[in-house]
Amino acid sequence: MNITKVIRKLKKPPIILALLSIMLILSFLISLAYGALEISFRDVIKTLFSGENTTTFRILYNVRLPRTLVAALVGACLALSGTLLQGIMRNPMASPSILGVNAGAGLFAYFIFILFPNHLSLTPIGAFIGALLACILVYLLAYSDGISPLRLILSGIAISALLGALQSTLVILFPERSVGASYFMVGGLSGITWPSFKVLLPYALFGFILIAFFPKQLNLLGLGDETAKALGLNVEAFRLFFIACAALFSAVSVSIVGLLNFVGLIVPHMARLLIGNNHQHLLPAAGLLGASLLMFCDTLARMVINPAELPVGIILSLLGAPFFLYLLRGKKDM
Amino acid sequence: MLSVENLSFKYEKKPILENISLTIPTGKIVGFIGPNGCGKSTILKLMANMLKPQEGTVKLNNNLISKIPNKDLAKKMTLLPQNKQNKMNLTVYELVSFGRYPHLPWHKRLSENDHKMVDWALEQTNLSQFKKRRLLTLSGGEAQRAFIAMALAQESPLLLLDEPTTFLDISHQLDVLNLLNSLNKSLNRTIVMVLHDINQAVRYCDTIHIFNNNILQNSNDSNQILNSSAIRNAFDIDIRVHYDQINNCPYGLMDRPSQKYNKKII
Repeated sequence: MNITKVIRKLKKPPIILALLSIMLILSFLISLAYGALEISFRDVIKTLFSGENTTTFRILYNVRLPRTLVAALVGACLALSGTLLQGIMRNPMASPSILGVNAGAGLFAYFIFILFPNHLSLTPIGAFIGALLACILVYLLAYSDGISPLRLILSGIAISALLGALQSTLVILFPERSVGASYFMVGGLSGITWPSFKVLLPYALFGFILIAFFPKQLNLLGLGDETAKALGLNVEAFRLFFIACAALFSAVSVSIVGLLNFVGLIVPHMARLLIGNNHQHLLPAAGLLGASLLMFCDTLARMVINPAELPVGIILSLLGAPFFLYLLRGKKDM
Repeated sequence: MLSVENLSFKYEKKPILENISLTIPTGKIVGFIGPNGCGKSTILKLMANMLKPQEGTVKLNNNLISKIPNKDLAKKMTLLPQNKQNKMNLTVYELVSFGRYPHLPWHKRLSENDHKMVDWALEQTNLSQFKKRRLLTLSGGEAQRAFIAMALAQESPLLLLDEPTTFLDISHQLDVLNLLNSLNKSLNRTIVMVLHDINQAVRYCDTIHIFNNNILQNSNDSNQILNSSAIRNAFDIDIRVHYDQINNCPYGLMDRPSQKYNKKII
């Protein structure tokens, strides 16, 4: 009896969503409790609710709480972005990077590191603008009397390659100024505090509410354009809408934590394996799973080489890739 | 009644269909046959408003289909394309429930009545015991029935099907055709389908349209079609016509003209 078999027995969407919600709460508490200083779960709750200005309170409130909340939101945003894109492209390789989001954000981050080394606080805004511009460019290049998923993926790859080449050129021309930007490229949550959370929250909430209304339409797009049209769906309009949502989710995430490729590609697959392809269940599952995974991995990132920390992107790939392969092996029908 | 008038369609300057006119009477089963690349699938898509013709019109009960809003059109007719995504991690029930989409306001979930319609569609297609199965575990014939159930749940009186029997073995082909036949007879669904097997077309359809070289070459009662020269020209075949006493329809044995002279085919 292995885990996937047990999961298959409990495979009712409400049960899986309830389990994922419990996992979310556990990851949240673990992320608050562990780090350079260990705090017991009871103390975590007691300290936060008492609001007394102790050292523990300051660590929790000023450092760990904002960082954990940002991890949760970014994890959910990237997972949802990937789920939306895989859904509309009907392609398992689709991820936010397909839209050129990462390449655009990366290039603009380097621009700022090189052109405005004294204004590094502009990096998130620059990365956000870069991500959106790259997205729009990819969409326009792929557009010809409607959007075909394949053309969108190919133009995404081409634009990413082009922007990547520009970025490499910058690195070679200005090696000494590019060092700091490399941390952005790996992606990490160190130094995240309340202002980042306040930037992220409205975008994330806006996106969550928007897509909560349209899981049906996303399901129909998965059936293929012709079947979706035969069912009365306005295919082009909804595809543009979902691409815009995915772009918003990933651009705002990338601009705050840098490039975390893994979450947007693999969390949607994990969620699909757990709960199936019906987006009514898949979207919340992917969001919960992405949030939990990022909070949990960020905790590990803070602990493994304590007192220094690893970028969470590395932990995500090291842990997530083998776990994903394990899930995949349990599935003979994929 | 669906009527096609003087329809022409070009794909990147290459003519696919030229000046096609035909009508689909309500309550009938209509077959489209013709050699590969003759535009059979294209005309289905034009009839379902998925492609825009360069010339001519398609009217549903005297209304231009291009003027009917998407969801309203989906309540009146639907098309099952040949290439469907059928290897999906969805249950049969979930797939069939997608057929309710045109009946739902954009933000609403399935109501009790919608669930009843889905159960009814599953019953009609003999899929009730399959409803919790995932699509990717079904055979081709079962998946085809699931898609037909989805179209039934959609409640559109006119069904267009592009090669519903392709890739199925003969027993599943007959299952699908018998199912469509019973939907026509008992539920009064109008059915238009592209078929490759001429004898199946003759047996199951009321009227048959033969397409060849971008034009509608012949339209005839299915009992007469085997005797026409159009079908011989379209496929470049000889046909010996016999009569099937049990199904009360003619059937043909076909040969390539050159093969007449070969005693044995190697």
